[in-house]
Amino acid sequence: MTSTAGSTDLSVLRLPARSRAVPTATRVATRRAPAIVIPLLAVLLGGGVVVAAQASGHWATTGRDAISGGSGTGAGAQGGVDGSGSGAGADTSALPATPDDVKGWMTLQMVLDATFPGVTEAGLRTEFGIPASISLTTPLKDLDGVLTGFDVASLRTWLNAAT
Amino acid sequence: MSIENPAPPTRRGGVPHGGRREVPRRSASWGARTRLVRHSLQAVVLGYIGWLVASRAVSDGASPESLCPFGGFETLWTWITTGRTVAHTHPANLALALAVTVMALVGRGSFCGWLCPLGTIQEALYGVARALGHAVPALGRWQRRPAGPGWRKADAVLRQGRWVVLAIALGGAALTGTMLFREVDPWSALLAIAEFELSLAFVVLGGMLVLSFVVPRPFCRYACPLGAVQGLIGYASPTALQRDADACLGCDLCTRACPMALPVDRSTRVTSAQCIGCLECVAACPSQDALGVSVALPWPAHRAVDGPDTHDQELVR
Repeated sequence: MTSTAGSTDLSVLRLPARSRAVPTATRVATRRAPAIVIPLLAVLLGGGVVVAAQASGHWATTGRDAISGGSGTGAGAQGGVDGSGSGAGADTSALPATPDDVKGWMTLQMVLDATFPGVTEAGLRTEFGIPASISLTTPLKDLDGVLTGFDVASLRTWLNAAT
Repeated sequence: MSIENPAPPTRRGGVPHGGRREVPRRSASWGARTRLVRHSLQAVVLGYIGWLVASRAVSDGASPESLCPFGGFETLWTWITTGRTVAHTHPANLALALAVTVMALVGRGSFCGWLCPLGTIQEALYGVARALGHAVPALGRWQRRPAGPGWRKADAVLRQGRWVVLAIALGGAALTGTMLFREVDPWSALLAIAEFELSLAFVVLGGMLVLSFVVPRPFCRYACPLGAVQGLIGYASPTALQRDADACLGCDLCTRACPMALPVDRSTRVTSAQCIGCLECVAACPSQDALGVSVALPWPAHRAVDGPDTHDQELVR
């Protein structure tokens, strides 16, 4: 397989004698590139997109960041990616602007602080059977599964109906 | 390393019938170096995700789910139409979806082959199983079975599953505003492994892990919607693996090395939506010039070649 004129050269291969094809590059208008460069370039460009998103404030890995993050993203805009909104003050900007902005990481107190019309602590506790022993600082997601019939989606529905 | 005793080329650049020639052998270290780089990147990503999962278990850190690019594709419609993201997704998912789109445009399925942690886990399991297969004959027989004709038919049908999953995942998210796919998503289950409770997603994850012992990357082949998205975007990519039949030995080592079982040895340009760009085929090829990556317009023009002197010119496509 590798002998040439009586000597052995491991750096070459002898192809079997048969009909040979015209080289692909002759038939198809393509240009060879170093094979490993392409995936590495793809990884670098993909990483560049992530870095650009982080640098421009379009990066949030929790709803908390999206709403109250220091990047100035809009209050209540859960996506928070349009860069609009005041973003003034972490405490108020973290509050949900609409029932649809209510998230599992938010506490009962934040829902009440959002001052949705017609929503009171008593009403909330009665509607979902939340006992007084459960503090208002409890995140909503911690109530999910603990209280029968409570989940964030049903809370949003109730808030929408109440407002 | 140059071609020795080349037969005189025809005016079309080919070699006459019966001509023998020698082509450069690819250095074995090329494959080793490429694998080292690829596996290092995979290990870094997997390690980072593992660290996120562990941090999440002990504190209320960011959810690793926010680093899933497919979440970005699932939430895209809702984000475009309402400015919001569906539950469990965040702006980071959208940024990652854009990053994967760019990667697919440059290197087709390179995210799958070089970064995806779920693919890495499946690949690692299959690697371990292959090693075990030499010692455990029953396992070895199961691993050889997918090469049989009956399995090949089933494999071809099952591969269409990715499109079904993609349609359900994207359509469901757009119509209901929730991540329907999350209920069966093995990746989501793996990220929640610290809070294990029996669910359909964990059953799928278990099935996938078991199947990984006999089939390389089963989830990538049959069900991954992110791979399907990249395959679609990749059709617009200017890069592709290219086989030069003139320098090909016809040994089919490339096809055997392909974790997605693509027929590399019978293709001219590998433009399959299933190619994950791992370069295992190139690393396995003993001929330096036979397989490589080429750049062209997404659908490269065919140059006029006069005369029928090739045995596989019909494979140009």
